[in-house]
Amino acid sequence: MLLLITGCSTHSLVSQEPVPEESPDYTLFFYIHGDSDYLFHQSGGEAIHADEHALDKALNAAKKAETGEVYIFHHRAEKNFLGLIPRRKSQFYHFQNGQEIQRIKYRRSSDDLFMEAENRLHALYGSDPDPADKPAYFLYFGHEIPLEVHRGYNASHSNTVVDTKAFATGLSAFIGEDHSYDLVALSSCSNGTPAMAKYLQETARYLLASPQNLHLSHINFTSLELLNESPDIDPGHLAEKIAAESYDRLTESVQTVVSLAVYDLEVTGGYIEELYSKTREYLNHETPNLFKENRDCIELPFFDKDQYSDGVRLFYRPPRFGSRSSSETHSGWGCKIVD
Amino acid sequence: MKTIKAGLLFTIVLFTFQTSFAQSGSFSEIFKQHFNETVQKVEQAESADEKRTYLNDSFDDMLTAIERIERSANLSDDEQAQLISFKEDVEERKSELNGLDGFDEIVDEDLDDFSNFSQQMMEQANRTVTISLTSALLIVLILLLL
Repeated sequence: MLLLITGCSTHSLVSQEPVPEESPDYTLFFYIHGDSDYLFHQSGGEAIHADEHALDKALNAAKKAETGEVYIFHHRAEKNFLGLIPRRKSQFYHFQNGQEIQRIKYRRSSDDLFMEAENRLHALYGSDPDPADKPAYFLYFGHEIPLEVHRGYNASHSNTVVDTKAFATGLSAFIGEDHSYDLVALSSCSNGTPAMAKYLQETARYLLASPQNLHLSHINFTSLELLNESPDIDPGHLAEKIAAESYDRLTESVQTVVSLAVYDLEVTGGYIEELYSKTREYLNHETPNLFKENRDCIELPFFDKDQYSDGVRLFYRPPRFGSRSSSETHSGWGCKIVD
Repeated sequence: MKTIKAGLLFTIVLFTFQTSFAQSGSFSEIFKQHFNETVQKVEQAESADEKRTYLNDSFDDMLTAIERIERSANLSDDEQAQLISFKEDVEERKSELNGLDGFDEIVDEDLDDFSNFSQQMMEQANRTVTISLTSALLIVLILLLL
């Protein structure tokens, strides 16, 4: 009955070994959105689906998380056999101390809120009842989380509302409202915004995100292995290492803009309400096309770089071509702006 | 014998259905696949003129396809906004290639890099171009971009 409710009926205990008894020192959550077009091509023309690529990297990281607990959710498009019989295409993986202990296929219902099916899976199958005592990291891979209510983010179940607020709510539900993540890393475009920092203010200590576009080959996160040696490593330091290694790879391989920012949400919390309110007011008056890529918030008339730069560490290189190729600096904040 | 024929027919219908569904692809995937072929041709072209021709033809084909969608599809406001954004990006790349609208013309030795840049712009992670098109219009799109 429980399985029918959750829509997840293929539950497999994959490990032949006994579940490790040692309690993990930290928790990693990977949410990989694949319910959309994630096709990109490598320089030789080879077609890659970015979500599959991210899943391979996450599974590899999970195996190397020798003292950690890892949850991976691969949210894929819903499919029906012959257009009639529902198929479970999404997959949940659960690792403990480098060992895969559960793999569950699941599907969501059309009434589910964003991440709700995954929240239920975690509540049902998560082995640790209180991960909040340990360092917790959340990594998201997908398209830009829309600023405002938007339908169509999920290609299947296109009526599901996905926006910054829904994202923050879904993410918070994994660990409970009384607790927060040490780091939330968004491997997505244009989510290094005042809105995202505001909505994650109570949910995360640090935020790693791109204020501009981010190529589909996504962020690198091999530095997470440092958690095995030092689970209490400063998450701000770890976030900067992830940003730096992603920056190095992307600047070697792409011609487009590379922008990765680490936001210390405790520090930005000193001014985020004011900055958010001003950008919100601008949006209400000017109504830019929200599907256009972000621009530097410094282009907005009210933005004062000295006032809004504390707590932001930026890794930035302008694009090689295009109208922004001569923009050598960036404030670290991305905004939707009328041309 | 009737059972065998019915089984065979069912298998053929099933295979056709599954294959055609898999090949139809989405709006944005069709454009990405089209431009990937352009990038490969540009890299293999021996002269700068040939590279420019491939790029200009490809941008024109995409703009024609977008205009066809604007005329033929019944788009929501969100879909319209996405399409405009996509169209403006293609127009900007074309202007930059040819040194129009305030851009300096792309010099011959940068054409390969510019071609890669244009592809990466199209394939960025913000491209949630979720325009729902009928199968018929998708087929028209594919034919326009061939």
